[in-house]
Amino acid sequence: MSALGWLAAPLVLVLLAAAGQPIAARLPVTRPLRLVLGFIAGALLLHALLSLLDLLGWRWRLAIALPFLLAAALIAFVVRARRPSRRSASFGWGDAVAILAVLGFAALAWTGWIAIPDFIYHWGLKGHRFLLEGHVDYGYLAQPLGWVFHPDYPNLYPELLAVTAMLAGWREGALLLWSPLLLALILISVREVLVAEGIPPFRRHAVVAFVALSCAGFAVANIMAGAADWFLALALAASLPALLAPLSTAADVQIGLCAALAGASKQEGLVMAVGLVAVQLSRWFWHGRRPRPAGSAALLVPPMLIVGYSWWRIAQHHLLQSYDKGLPIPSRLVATLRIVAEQLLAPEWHGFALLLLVLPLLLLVPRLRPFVAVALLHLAGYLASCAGQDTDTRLLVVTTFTRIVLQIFPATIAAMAVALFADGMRTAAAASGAAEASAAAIDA
Amino acid sequence: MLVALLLVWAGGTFVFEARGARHDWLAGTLHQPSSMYWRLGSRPPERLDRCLRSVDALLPAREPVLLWDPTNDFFRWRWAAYFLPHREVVQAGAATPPGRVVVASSRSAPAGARRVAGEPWCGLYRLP
Repeated sequence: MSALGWLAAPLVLVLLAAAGQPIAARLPVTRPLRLVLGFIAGALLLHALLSLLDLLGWRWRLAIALPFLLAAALIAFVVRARRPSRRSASFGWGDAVAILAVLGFAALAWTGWIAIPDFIYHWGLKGHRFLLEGHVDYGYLAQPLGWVFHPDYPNLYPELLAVTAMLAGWREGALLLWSPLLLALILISVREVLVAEGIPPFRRHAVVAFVALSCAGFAVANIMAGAADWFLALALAASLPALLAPLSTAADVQIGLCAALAGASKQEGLVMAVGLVAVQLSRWFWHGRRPRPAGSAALLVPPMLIVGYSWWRIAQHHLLQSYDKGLPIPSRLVATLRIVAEQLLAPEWHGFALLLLVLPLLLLVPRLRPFVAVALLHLAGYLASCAGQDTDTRLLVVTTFTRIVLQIFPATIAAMAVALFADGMRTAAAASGAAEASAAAIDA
Repeated sequence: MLVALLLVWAGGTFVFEARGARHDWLAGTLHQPSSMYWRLGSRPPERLDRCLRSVDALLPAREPVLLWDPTNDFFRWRWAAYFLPHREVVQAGAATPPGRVVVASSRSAPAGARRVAGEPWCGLYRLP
């Protein structure tokens, strides 16, 4: 593979992170977290651009996407919208271990050997088809045999694959590198929330290294290169700092971005998106306050646009599949719960999935309640979905639950670390000051 | 202490899984022969890819590919669809009308089928 093949996904990631800086650079977060939030904003911008081209009937071209993203990146510098970032922590042994874990995962992903079958049956097939056709091929998705590749799923990920392949051709090794890159962004999110919460360096390094090794180990065991679940894990992990922070417009912006990413990535991301927005709005009303107009818009508009567009297309082309309809049935719910309990011991997780049982205990920590509410809503949505589908429940749960664990695992471990190690008084004061600064920055 | 134990356990599991995957990749070992367990880069899907590439050039653009498969192997069909994203890939079997051209090999083609293009191991066969 050429150097460009190797570099295609990292280059697109950098480009997207830069394109998202007009938004991310205004947020009062650390620089590494700005990279993460910038990537999310940039990916959403790209999704919006490609959707617009679809609506106009124009073919996707690198000659359109590239200048658009570069122009967005330039805006951040030209209008000098950058605000002072918060201080991050210096590089340490936990970060080094995390990099090694990501590199190990990347090396194996590049071989293709640990590519998830869904990449073949679903994400990769759609991405390649869209690349060749130059648009989301709704005719292809709507064919009678289309049920096999989930035509009613959102298309951000296949679009990202298509744009990456525009740079270096359709090379699986290059495209599968997206998964380790997303793991890296997840780990940055976990690290930065621990930094913001004032967790002592040794413990912070241990937690970051643990999340990196456990997630990378699972990724290899469960063949997760090319999976879309990384996007949901990223959306939840990147929203955690905002869910822990005092209410502010900046937090609304971050949660709006993360909710939109979740809604654009997978069908179950819709539940996460609704959970994130509903919990953030509930926080405002619980405190007897209302979000500022800018905050309300940032919180509501991106996810509503993304999800609304996706479902409009689903309805327009009759893409909703019968297996995605149906109300939960108690007997199936019981069966689902029994199989979920078994799957907590799935060998691919080597016992780490059991740590999710701590989630309800985190409700004892008031600051963590918003996050726990989102995570539990996400799990409840999954259980309801399994109990509602008229299919082989065992097969469904066995083939999906370990990946659902991945979606909430990194953020849950970070939340556990906050509960155990954070200096509550100090971080609350720091967060309060940051919130005031952020409100001023965003409203300026 | 608990975090240290978890960290050691996580490190051990990562090394265990990574070494196992590397070993299997180098050996090309599939633990199950079924297409459900095929891996990208393993021999069976690579052979299917080579086969489909060879017949792809023989077919008019946009014409669907009929993959002869009386056993109705779902996963093999999906791999074939992945390898030919620019075409519709349809499974062909006993219900396929006579005279249609299918992708098959001399061993798998139905009795009486005549090869019209391609190689014996992978070619286009007209159904009797």
